[in-house]
Amino acid sequence: MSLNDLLKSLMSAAMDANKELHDHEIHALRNHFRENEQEGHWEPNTVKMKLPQKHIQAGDDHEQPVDVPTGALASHHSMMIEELELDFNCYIQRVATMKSGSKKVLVDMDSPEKEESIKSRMSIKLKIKSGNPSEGTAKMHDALNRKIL
Amino acid sequence: MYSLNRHISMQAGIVQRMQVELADQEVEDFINFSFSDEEPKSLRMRIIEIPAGSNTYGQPASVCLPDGLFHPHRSLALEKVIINSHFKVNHSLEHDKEYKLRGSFHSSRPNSNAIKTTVKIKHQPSSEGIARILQVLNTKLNQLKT
Repeated sequence: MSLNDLLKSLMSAAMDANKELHDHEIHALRNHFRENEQEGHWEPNTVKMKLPQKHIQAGDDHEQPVDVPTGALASHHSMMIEELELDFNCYIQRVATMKSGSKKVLVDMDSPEKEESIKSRMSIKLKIKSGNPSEGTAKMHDALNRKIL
Repeated sequence: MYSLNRHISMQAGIVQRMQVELADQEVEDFINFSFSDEEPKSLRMRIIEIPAGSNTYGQPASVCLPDGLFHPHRSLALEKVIINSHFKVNHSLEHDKEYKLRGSFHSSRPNSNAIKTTVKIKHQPSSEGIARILQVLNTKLNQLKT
């Protein structure tokens, strides 16, 4: 395998994981909506709660049922890769000339000197941290909040 | 075929699952601790008996307060997750437009796929929706004080 291909495969793995995390934000938001097939749109899932009115007078216990969107009650955070550390050994074999005339460094990940158990072993340290939601999710959250009071 | 892409994406999936569980738990806890089970959910109230005093014109009195105000509402969120694992590289690469390094999960223990995970969970401010409802409950409390 060429060193170039090896590096491309590492980048590909990181990009796939990053995409997985990006898609998650949309899926998480979708959990708070249901599809209205007749109308062809999505509606927020709600829970009906009796809440005191905001401008109640002293001594007035009047409560009104409010459809509170569950999406307004939930926190929306994005998750992102902070760091991906891949620790491995590879051994340069030779420089090969390809059909196109370009030269590539060929590498081997096995070493005959090493024991079988640690051959080709890659240690992976993946750090994922939470962050602010995307602009679209934040705006959606604001819109749901306005439905409460 | 198991690949490095799948190996790392699967770990990202575990973290997502954790975050969804915490977010769902936050909503469920808030609804359960402040509101009744039946629909429409009404506020659980607690009656507090007040002994006779100058504020009660010398007569014993009672006030009805939302139960939720007696519990501090604490939300928890994932701050960071660190996952350590090992991947055993099998030399083949998929070249169909993408480069994927094939291999297998590597573990020192046979028949187990061990990953070492460190999870940092932190306290966070309540979501905007919960904060708004708590504000309404507190307004009610303040009006009762007057």
